[in-house]
Amino acid sequence: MADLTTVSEGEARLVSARDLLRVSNLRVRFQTPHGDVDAVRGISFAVGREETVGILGESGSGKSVSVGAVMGLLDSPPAKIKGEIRYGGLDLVQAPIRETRRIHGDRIAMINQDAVTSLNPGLTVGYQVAELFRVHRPGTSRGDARRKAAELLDRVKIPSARDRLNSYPHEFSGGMSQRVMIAMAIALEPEILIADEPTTALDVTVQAQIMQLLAELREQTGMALILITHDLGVVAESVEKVLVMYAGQIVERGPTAEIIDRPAHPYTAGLLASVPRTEHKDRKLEAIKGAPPVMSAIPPGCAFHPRCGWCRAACRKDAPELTAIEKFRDSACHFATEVYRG
Amino acid sequence: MAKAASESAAVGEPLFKVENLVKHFEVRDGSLLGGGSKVIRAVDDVSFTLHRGETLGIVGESGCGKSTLARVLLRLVEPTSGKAHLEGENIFDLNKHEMRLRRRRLQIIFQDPFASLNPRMTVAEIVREPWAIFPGEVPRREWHDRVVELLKRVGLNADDAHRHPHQFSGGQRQRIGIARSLALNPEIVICDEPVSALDVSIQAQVINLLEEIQDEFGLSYIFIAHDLSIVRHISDRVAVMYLGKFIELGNWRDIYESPTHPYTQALLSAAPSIDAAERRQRIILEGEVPSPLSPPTGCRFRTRCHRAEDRCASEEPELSLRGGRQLCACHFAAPMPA
Repeated sequence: MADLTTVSEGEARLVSARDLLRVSNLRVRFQTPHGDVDAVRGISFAVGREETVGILGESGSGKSVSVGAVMGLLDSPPAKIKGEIRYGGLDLVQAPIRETRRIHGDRIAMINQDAVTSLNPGLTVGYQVAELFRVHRPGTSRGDARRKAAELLDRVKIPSARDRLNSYPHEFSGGMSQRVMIAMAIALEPEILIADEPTTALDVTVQAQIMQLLAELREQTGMALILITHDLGVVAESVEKVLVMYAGQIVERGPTAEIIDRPAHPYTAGLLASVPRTEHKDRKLEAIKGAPPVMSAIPPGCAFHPRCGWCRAACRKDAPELTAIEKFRDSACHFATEVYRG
Repeated sequence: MAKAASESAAVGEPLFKVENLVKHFEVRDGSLLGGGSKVIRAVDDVSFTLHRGETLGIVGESGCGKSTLARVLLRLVEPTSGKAHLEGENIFDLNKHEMRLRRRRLQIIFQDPFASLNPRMTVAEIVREPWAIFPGEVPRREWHDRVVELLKRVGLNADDAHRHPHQFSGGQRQRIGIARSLALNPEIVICDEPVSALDVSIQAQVINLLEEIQDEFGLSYIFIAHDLSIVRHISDRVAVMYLGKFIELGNWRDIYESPTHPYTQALLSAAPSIDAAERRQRIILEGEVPSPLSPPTGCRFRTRCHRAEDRCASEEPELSLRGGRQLCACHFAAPMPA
């Protein structure tokens, strides 16, 4: 592993005052028996205080691996992580585990899709929530930890929270389990909450409850939110900024409303066009042709070129860089301006 | 082969008439020692008519009984009671042999293209398997050509016939499943969440394919899904299901644009949309769907309903015309306030 990372004042200043988290040129490669696979291929983004950022992508786009790297969840090996993940003067890629342990699950917390299996089935919900305080805040008494656990379950609107402390996870529905996960994630008052497909396993009426709860909690605490999803509607309604990922790279980013209104990458435009709308009821849906590439066989040049209507010779050869086309708007397409102008 | 089906049929005549269909599952109580048994009312008195060439969408959340309904209609599980008339003949009265003969007219496309195709069979073997089960349907010497024809129709290549399912992506596997379902020239295809396991960019391809073959082969669809915008796109009529019952049934536009059941209204309002204009005043339902082991008395939705009154606990509302153009099962059916 790397040397002990001591952060100089100069380095600390590179992280701007507003940016809580800055990811620079992050690359994640997995070594597999069938050869190396590049899951994340050089992505950079920053998350500011109180910001809400969405990462939109389909399966295999690298969105979950990216946040897995941020959370220190990738085992290395097989994962090889390159680049920087700056948080509070610390590079989470290089820092030793005793440093990152104070960040992961504490300053940056995460909930994921599968709340039901994320809980330990053999321990009561109250014990699992209270355990957080005993591990991360040594010195918290049993009674205090339990009282705080009850408060948290109440905050995430679990009915009769105090009584439910003694319940086991199997006594909770999917939606209630996700509430417990949220309670655990906010327990230590993190500055950033990463939500990886938090409602994908839930029904739409329960999804609405959970998204409303997250919005309320964010308002109360001011924590920043990184929301990973494949659902355009969820992105449209929940985050100010969005990064669109395809084949391990960011292909477009900017303010959510602007991107939905006027996409600047053919992939984003294709996704938006394929959504069924009332006024297009009698028309064929505008599907994107082909399928997303598998990570072990990413096309040369622009990874999207085999599926793209704008594809020209350059696209098969040269990978386009993510470049600005407008203030706050970036697109990685040789024809970004043309796509943007429609 | 598609011609016969599409020419013979006038679109719109009643084809499949389902009456008072009930499917209860008995489950044993937790205790091993002489515990009593309880009944899950998965499908509880569902009636509808499917017309030739139409698509009936069925929406509802997990546990509402929509997939059980699909399986009962194919007699993959036997109903507790009720009838399903396919051109005047109640399929639940048929013996095993007779049902097998009818089943080629009723096909299903499953949600999970990874689990529903036999991994040891080639694509050709999968697609032509129904012809081995129904000898006389297609002469053996034509099998090869017909397989290629079907594969091409669903957007695959002739070469794909010799490959195995694991060599295909999710969207392609769903195409294989569609080719197989077409092999016997069915009249009714039940699509059970056919695109929900697929990536967003692939869903539209499969929906387009389903719409194309519907016209060409003269198919009627029962289209079960939880994605409200996809159901709106493909359906002529839509049924909304809650705890084993249809609670609203009507023309897609009436259901989507002027729903009268409070559950339909909440469901539609909860779906996030990319269209700012489509976003409605969100109705956040309290709590979650009650257990089908012990559904509420009277109206099953009353425990989460903002309109509920005493009457709702004692008197179960019938699915009937209540002021709107659609059928609604609510004592206080009313359009949403503007």
